[in-house]
Amino acid sequence: MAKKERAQVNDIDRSMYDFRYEEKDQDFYKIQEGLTREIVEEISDKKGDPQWMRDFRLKSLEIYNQKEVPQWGPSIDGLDMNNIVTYVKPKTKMTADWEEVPDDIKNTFEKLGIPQAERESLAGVGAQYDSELVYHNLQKDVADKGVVYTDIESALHGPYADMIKDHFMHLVPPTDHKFAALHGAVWSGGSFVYVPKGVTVEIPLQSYFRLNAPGAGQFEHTLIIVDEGANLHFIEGCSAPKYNIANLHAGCVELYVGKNAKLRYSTIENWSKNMYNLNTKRAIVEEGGTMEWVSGSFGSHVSYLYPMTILQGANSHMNFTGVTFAGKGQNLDTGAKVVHNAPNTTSYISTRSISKDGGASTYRSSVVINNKAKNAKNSVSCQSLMLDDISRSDTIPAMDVRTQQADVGHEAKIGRISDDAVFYLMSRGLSEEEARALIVSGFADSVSKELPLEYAVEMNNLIRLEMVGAIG
Amino acid sequence: MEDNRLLMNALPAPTYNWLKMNDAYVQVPKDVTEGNPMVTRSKTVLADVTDYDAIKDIAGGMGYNMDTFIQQSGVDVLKISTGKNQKVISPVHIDFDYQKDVNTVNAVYIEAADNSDITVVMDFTSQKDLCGFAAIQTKVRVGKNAKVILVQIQRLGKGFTFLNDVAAKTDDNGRFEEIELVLSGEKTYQGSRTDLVGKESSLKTDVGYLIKGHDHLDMNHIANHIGRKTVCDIDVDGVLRDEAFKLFRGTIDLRKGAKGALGNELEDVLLMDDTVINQTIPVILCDEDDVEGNHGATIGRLDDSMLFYLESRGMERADVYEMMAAARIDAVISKIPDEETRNLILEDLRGHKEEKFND
Repeated sequence: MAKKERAQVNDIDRSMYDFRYEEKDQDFYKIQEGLTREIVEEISDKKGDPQWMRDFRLKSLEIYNQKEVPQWGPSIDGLDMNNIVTYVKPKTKMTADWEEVPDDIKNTFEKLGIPQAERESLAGVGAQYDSELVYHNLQKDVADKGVVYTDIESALHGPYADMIKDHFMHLVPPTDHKFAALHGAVWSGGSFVYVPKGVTVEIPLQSYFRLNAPGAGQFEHTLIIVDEGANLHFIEGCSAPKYNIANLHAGCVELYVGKNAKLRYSTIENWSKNMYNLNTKRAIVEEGGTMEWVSGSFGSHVSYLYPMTILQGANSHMNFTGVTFAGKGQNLDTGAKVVHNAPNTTSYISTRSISKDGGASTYRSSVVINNKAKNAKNSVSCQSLMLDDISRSDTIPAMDVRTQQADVGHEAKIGRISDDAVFYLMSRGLSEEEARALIVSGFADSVSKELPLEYAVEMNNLIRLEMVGAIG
Repeated sequence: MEDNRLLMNALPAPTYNWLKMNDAYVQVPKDVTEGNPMVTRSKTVLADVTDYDAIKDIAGGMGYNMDTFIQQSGVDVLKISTGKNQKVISPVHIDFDYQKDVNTVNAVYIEAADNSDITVVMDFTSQKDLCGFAAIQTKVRVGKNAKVILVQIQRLGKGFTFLNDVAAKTDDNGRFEEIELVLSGEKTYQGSRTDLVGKESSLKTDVGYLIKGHDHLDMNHIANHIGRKTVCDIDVDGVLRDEAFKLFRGTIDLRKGAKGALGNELEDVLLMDDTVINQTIPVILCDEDDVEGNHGATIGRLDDSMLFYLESRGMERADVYEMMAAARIDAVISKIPDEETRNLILEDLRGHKEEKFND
């Protein structure tokens, strides 16, 4: 009898992300490693913060020093803030013309396909390199509708300063957890988007975050306000080359979805495998509004990522679609959180996790239905696929229901490729190898089909599923 | 053990602290006495006393602090055991009838030798208005090809705090069936852990609860799949009324080496009033690829189509809810393999219902 081979699923090909340019001192300003009051004040000085923001940073630092590291997730013992450079500024100004971007930085984004994507399918692009944006542009016809898309720093000093002050870290206060506090203290870069009442942005906006410096942290802040009846699709991408020392990403995303408005927020996260990705994302949705998350987590050494949605208005809705691929040396703890705070609110969470080559993936979620949320409905479906016996996969979903007038359903499944499914496909004429390949690719496809085309292509680059032989 | 507040029912894999679902702090009395249960058994079943050291290696769902609490109380461990190949036909009954303001502790050890079968029914009762504290720990060792059915029925007074810890370990092809009914008591902490060590051993757990008033039920059920081709099915059916609170933690842990293991977990909760609080956290931990773990939960009100059907047959909506609530508990009761016990509980429940209508 011929010996059976185990199906092989190749690791993610990271070569298109791992290129890097050495940062020369004359081209970059780097703050001292570590986290002290003096460092926070220096960042504030460099950025020319208004006084309230300077005070906010210092208060956040106090909170950071008081908060404990969470004990419930993957270990972050390898992260030492004393070794992290919290601010790295390219010595260039933000521009709306790629030709004005320094060559090394421009070439980085060229290789990542950002200018090409902008030309072909985006209404606006922001590109951040280390701690600052180097490029920001919005199509004129979109700007003419009153849409604002700029960096947070510019917004802090412009006509939207009050709007920033009224919203900045109100959804994710620094007291939320230790790394929210860290973000409050040293945040830099990120985007501010405002879509006025009734305006539909037909094609997506995209921000791309590239962390190039070894041993650095990236702390960008994304603040999006989609006003009543407006509609936006925002795409976020991130990557970094791999180094042998720890890098840190502790970004923060705050999304305000107005009455009857709709926001789709898509992310392909592909940090390098030395990255600690401790990101916080949160949305609040008013009456009749819709929040859609599409999330692909492929990179980083350790991730804590659970986008949260607060359904604050009646008839509001949330949809979360996520895929996580944990390979060698990765421990990806991902999922979603939703709070139903109003009547007739609905939410749907669908996730897929793949673990291989010693990787660990955890699906973690919480669904809270408060007493005011009469006729609330929630459904959660999470599936995990184990591709070998040296990997790990856990699901830890929590539900808290505080009204009788609710319907909550949850289903989860962990396992390997189903023999029955293989048998069924083989009975329809596929070889065993083809059947297994189809099942594995189909498992991730349920999420990739939710992505915009250009990101689905990127995802296909990320997951190159090649099946060899049959699982024994 | 400071201030006699003990951390118990810890989730094997904790999650967000703000949910306050990771564990429970339980107030226990400083001075306790040993309860005096009535044991009814056929003469062929051995009943004697053993030392706690004999059962230290079997860990329960409530955790290490419960072990320490029981051990430090100094109570004897009542041991019920079978001989090899012995099939015990009549269930062993261990009845606890608690008196007013008691603070009692008991430990029971059930040892089923290879190829033996035994059913043990434990009934915890008191007069309905009584207050008190009772803690019971039941440890079970299931031999090769042996089968143990453990039935525990809780019918305590309105002011009772009850700690109920179950721990089981199975050998090859051993089967442990656990039926838990929680029908009253002010604060109930229930833990259950089964280590499916032997190849092809299995666990079947059925939990039914009816929580009302301001009652508080905190559960922690754990199935550890250690041996190959081990199977567990955990089914939980419950009804919450008034301002009751319930937290169910259920964990299926598919450990390295448990090839061919299958774990299933299902919870179905019917919420009868708008002031109840239901918390559920069904966990699957998986360190092996050739396994399957499934869990599901449905929480809330009755299905609209079912309601429509029954209302179209002339039933009032409130009556439909009462009928469906009773059906859930009856379904668990029907699994008790002892007619006398089934009738006793159904009679008790009917009494409660009449009492409710007479209020």
